[in-house]
Amino acid sequence: MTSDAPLVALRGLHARDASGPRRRARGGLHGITLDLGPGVFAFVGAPEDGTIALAETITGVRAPLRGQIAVGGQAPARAPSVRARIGALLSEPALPEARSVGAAVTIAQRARGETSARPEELLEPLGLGHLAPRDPLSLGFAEARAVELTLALSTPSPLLVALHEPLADVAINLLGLVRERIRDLALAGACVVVTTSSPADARALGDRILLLHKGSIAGEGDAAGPLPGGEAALRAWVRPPQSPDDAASVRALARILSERPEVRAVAWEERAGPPPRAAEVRVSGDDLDACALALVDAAVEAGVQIESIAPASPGIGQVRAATEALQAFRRTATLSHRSPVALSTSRSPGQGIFARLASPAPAPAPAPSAPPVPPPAAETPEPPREPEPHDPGGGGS
Amino acid sequence: MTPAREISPVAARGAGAGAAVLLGLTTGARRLARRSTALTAILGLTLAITAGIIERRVTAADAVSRSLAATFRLVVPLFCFALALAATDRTSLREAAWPVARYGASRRDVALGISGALVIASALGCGLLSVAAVVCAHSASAPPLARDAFTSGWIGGLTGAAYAAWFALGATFFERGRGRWVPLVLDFVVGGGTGLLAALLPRAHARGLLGGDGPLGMSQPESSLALALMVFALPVLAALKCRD
Repeated sequence: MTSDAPLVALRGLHARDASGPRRRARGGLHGITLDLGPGVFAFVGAPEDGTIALAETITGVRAPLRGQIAVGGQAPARAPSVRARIGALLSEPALPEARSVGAAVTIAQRARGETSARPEELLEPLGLGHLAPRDPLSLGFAEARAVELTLALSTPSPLLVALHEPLADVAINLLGLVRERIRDLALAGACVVVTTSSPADARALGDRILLLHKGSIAGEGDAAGPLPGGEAALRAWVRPPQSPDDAASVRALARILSERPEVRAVAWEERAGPPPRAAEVRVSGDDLDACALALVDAAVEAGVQIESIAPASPGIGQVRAATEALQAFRRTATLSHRSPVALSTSRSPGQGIFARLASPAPAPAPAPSAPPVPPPAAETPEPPREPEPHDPGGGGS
Repeated sequence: MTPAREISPVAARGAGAGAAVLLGLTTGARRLARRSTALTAILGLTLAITAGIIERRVTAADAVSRSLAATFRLVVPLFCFALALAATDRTSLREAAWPVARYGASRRDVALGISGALVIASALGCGLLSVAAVVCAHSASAPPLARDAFTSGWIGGLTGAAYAAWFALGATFFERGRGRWVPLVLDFVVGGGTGLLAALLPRAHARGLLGGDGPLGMSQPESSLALALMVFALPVLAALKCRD
């Protein structure tokens, strides 16, 4: 493998999983072509869109039906030495048979060729030391996945770490450490592929987000940019001061925000409970940082207390619906029938479909290391707009 | 809280062939050490003992031979089949090797180790079943017990190992290793004969070793050799079928 070769290369990949009832396929991939380099690539989609098929194929669980896949220049299903450098957390845990979890971890380390196998060194940092003496068959689903995640994140000098839903169904309390570890692996030069049905998890983990839809890549963009079905928005939980009319304070906050030029829309919803009732405020605009500053200023002015602020992500249902609408629009408008996206290890600004379709400002590239792939034929329809947030508490502007 | 493990700069290369075979042996042995296997062994032993007692009660003359025939005809193949299911976790041999192979060991070597564990467990189990059948059917008019038990024991062990080897190879065919049914059914259907097909299966050779007619007129040493050949060649073929 040359130094500028992609870590993971998929060429016209057709594959399917076996995670349905009676081992039938639940989802598949249809002719995906991709080059992935170092970094964290989050694939958003449901299992029916091929997320499990992708995770299983790139880790060598099953060979592709058609097309080629290379990790470090070799097919993972056929090269044990490559598999030793692939960390994997798949949809179903499959720990080696052993009398205890510690022994299972030792077997995995020996299979990787590690000479000094010390399971406690691996399990303790993520708070799983207490599982070491347990029988692997006695582990719950989330516990077994937690052990697998630990093994995946401890792969020596990894080429690829493929994680299916690493923040869900995993019995680890220290998810911050997991995120940190994933970041470290990417910085050390590994390609980390995260497959998830949660756009929020994809945003939290990925450098770039790729949208898998019905087995194809429907779009890709920077993690900071908006996903189809959702615009850049913030969600804040605020608490009004102790006063007889706590709703007035939140209304005042919304009014002040609506007058700020950087804010495009505001909506709020009061929570049930005794006064002072907390409220959830949703603010959208082109620049989330500016929106956050406006929110802080407005909160000071209105006299409400901000308890937390987080970027709002659309759900997978919204993302899929918006993607389908987008594809229907393309078909209706007889826009070009596009070949599968060729994703380089680096991206030129604004190259992603999300960036071109949904974000007015081009997204920056994460880490240029290979020549950028020329962008496909230009097409810039407006993205489908997310409906205004529901506003049972009184309205929005 | 212990600090997070550093990312090792040394690239893993995967386990060597010897280590991978050993890991496969460990994995197979662990699967065979489950409670279900113990229950299977108890059931097999009960059947062998019952056969021995019944044959002796019917008539003491030649009771040991009849007891052994019953055990080898039914109990030994079914016992080995149950062990094969357990060792491969009711799936194909290729998939059974995956939990270890996924971390970098060669599928072929792990599969060889699992087959090895299956062959050893079957040999020991069937040896024990044969001895139990002899002991329970033994009477004063029969040949010396120790010699009879020893001879039946090694014949049972060799036959059991040959069955296990066939089931290991069968588990590499069809989805979830359903190919293991093929040697079992063939053994029941044509294994009782003396033709060419019977010569490929353990039943006919076991019958020859126990004093009956061998397949294709083979002598007892030839039948032993044929069974030994199955024991060593078939797991290797099975492992080669599982190669990455």
